[in-house]
Amino acid sequence: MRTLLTRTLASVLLTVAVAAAAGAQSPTPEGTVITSTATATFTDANGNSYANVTANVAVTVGFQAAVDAQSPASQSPVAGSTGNSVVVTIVNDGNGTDQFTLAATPPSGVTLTGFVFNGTPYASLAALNAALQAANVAAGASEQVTVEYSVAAGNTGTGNLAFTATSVRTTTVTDVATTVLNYQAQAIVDVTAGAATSSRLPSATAAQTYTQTFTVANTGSASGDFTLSVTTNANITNATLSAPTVTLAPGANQVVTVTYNVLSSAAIGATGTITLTATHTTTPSITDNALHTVTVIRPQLAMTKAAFRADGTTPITAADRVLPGEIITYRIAITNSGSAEAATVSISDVLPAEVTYQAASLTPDATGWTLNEAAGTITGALATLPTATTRFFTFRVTVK
Amino acid sequence: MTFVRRTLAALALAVAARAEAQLSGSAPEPRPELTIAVQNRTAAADAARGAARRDSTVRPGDVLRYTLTFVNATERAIRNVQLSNPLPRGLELLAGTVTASRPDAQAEYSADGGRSYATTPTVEVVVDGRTVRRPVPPAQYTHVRWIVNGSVAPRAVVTAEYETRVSTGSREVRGATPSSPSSGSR
Repeated sequence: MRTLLTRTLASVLLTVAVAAAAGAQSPTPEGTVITSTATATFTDANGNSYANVTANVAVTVGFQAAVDAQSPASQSPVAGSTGNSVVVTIVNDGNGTDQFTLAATPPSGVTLTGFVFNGTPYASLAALNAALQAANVAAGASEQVTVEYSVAAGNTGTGNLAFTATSVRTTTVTDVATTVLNYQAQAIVDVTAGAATSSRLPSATAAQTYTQTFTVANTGSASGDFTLSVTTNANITNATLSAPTVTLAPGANQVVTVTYNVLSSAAIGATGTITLTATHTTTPSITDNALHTVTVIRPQLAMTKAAFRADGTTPITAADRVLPGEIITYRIAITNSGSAEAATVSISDVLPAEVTYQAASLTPDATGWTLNEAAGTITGALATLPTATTRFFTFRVTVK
Repeated sequence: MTFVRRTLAALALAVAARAEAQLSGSAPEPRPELTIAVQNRTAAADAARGAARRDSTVRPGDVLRYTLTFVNATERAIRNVQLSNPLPRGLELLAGTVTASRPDAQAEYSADGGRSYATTPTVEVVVDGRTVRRPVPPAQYTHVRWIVNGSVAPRAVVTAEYETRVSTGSREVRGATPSSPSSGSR
């Protein structure tokens, strides 16, 4: 017997090589029942044959956890960047359905900012793992998690971002995948508007200019030259920049000013847009922009004129009649329902020939009016009329 | 045989099944018996170092020792005894583990589903355009059998054993590589 075994053993070396080339096979699945059946044949001393005798024994294959965590060998994120991501693949190498949890160990200066699993974003590792633990992964199948991270501006050299996948069914079974981060020194531009919105009157002349500031900052880890450009819509005209380019050291910023006119014919409530774009002069992919929105404002005036009896309070309607010699009190009111204050408001009222102005009867509602009567013409002037404001004055006439 | 039975009885994790001799025909004799038992050596080793399994299932990679026990329970000697055992799918025969209690029991193997047997099965492969025969790895054997050349005396016992490993597939050993590219094919 031993002779036979020796011969069998002689081929062990070759055995290993051929077995490895035999191709991919899965571990025997959990729950498989392996039945081994032995058969004995025999004859009696005279050579008579008999029916075989058989025996069998069965074993059941249990669960054996195995996990393989995979992540890219390396990535080259920019120091000072956000929104980087790495895909971690968790392969169930066990022989049955399992679930897995993920742990992540970022290097110094790297912050994990979010996770995406099955298209759903998760803010924290705990929230991600709650979802992962509920996700069954069949034997041989895998699942993927996208891990998002930011890199501090001061990071240089390399860092190791390590992920550990752990079997839920057998928590002692883990695997680690490591992605080496090679930090890249690069400028990153960030443009912000000094204010998001403003309200402006149309420019009656080109000399009536407005200004809007923008801050251009370099949040990256290398200095950079940036070309500035400004774009507007039709309601903004003559937009010019205080500087065509800026050079910024890492962490530095510069305020630039856009000078512009608002289109003189722009309607009340119309929107003007000013977009400042900063683009790296040699690496155009490094770019950012910010938008400032201008709302066009104008005053809108409406005037009413009403007639009252001599008491100044009883209205005279179209059905009423006045008699010669009777005194009529007129009230002229003006309202600004627009979005901008009105300036140098001037009102003129030519009295009808049938009435005579009663001297010194012009009465303002409050201070601010300049009222006058000359040769049957009433004039009223206001230096300003704020929005949502009504001002009025009264005067009296005698029916001829 | 007594020793074997004692050994089997002592192993809590051993799973045994016993089949009574199935004999047809009019003659009541002979009535030999065949038994097959399996012992999970890996689980036994785990238990020996205090890491007993929670259940009696086997795991990929476990080594199972199968023991065939043939008892001539008749009053006469019998001849031409042949014990055969197809190797179930999911089990890989381990080289150097096939033994028998009698020196005249010759073990043979089949790698082609039982169509042919040899002490060292070979397979034809083409290498550099030439056809050569190479030994088949024991893990790919499909059958094992023992041919007892001599007669088996009344009440004599023939035992035969072999060990198999529960298939682990081609999975790479964890820890062999610190990390692998996610784009890599597996």
